[in-house]
Amino acid sequence: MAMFDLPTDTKQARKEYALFRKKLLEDGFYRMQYSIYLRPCASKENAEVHLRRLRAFLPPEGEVAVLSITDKQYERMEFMLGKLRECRPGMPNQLELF
Amino acid sequence: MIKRTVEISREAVHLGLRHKQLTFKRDGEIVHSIPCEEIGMVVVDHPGTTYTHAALRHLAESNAAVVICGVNHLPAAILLPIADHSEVVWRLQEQIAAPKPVCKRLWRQIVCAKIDAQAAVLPDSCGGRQRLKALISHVKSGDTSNVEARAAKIYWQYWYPEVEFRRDPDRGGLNAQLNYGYAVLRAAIARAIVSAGLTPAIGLHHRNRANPFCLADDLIEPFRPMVDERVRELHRQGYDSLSQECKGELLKLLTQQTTLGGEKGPWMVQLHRMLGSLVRCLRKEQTALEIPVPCE
Repeated sequence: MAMFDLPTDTKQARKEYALFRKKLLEDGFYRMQYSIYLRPCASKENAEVHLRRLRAFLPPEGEVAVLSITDKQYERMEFMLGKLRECRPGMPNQLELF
Repeated sequence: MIKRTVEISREAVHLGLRHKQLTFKRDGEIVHSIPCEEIGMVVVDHPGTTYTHAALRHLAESNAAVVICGVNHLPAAILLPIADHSEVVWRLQEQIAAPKPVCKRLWRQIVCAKIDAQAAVLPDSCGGRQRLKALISHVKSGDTSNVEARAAKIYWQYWYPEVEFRRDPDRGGLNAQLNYGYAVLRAAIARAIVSAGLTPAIGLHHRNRANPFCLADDLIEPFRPMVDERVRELHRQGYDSLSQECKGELLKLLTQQTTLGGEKGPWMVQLHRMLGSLVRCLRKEQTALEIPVPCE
């Protein structure tokens, strides 16, 4: 789970923000809420790979916090307030049938 | 890390690319997306599937194989990445220059492993197991006396005694299930060959044929019994046609636990170790090929 707070006051800052967001998406993250992105990882090693990548494309300004949570912890997360916009995605399967 | 397998057969989708992810679009809406780097194989068996160029390109760049199924639902073509390997030319030269004795020795080992695997699939009680085990010691270098065929004859006779069965690649039912299983393994092996920097067209034993997958056909031999066993098991559970559930079960073979050199792991991962060992064999750094064996 990556949570970030980036400045958008100047044109340059907005550009960096957009670039950072794009790279997050390209790395397989999806948006859970504004500025909170999630990415399921198959293993701890795999999570480290993505953590390293994220570190490499960090924007110079602003704050990014990354929290690794386990499958179990994710499951226990409670979603409150209003109705769910859509089903929250679970862990991806190794085999997917379409 | 084990790569993900995607099978498309229930409903038509449009495969596209967005943010380096393979997207699944239905009625103009993205219903699912998977990062390409996590995909090992995409098996497409729905005639209504459409693709964008970018999707196929990025799958190839991420080292994923795309398997296209024909009207009979069996894999008809494999789209393989052109090896993104730094030593491709050297490997190719080593592969072409591989000395005959080395190839013959490796082929002997593969045949022995196949017969051994076949024996393991047969039921304990039947006599076929002992007969197969006895044959192993008769395999000569290059299997010049074709013990492989003799073993196959015994094997198929005992394989599924409750059912009247004849191995015929053109028939449906059990044969179609077997063919599907083999084709999936073959595609996975071809992918591993390419990612090891080798060329699937140049085989050890299967040679001089109009076959672009000679090497894959060599290396698949020890694993065919793995498919046979699973198909028999599925058939006993009541799967008598090549339904999507059945295909899903067969695709799970890729994740079957195997051991190699005391290490456990999914077959798809061990394959890469086996190919690494094949490269060392061709370079004469190693004499025996390491072949993964299914865990008990």
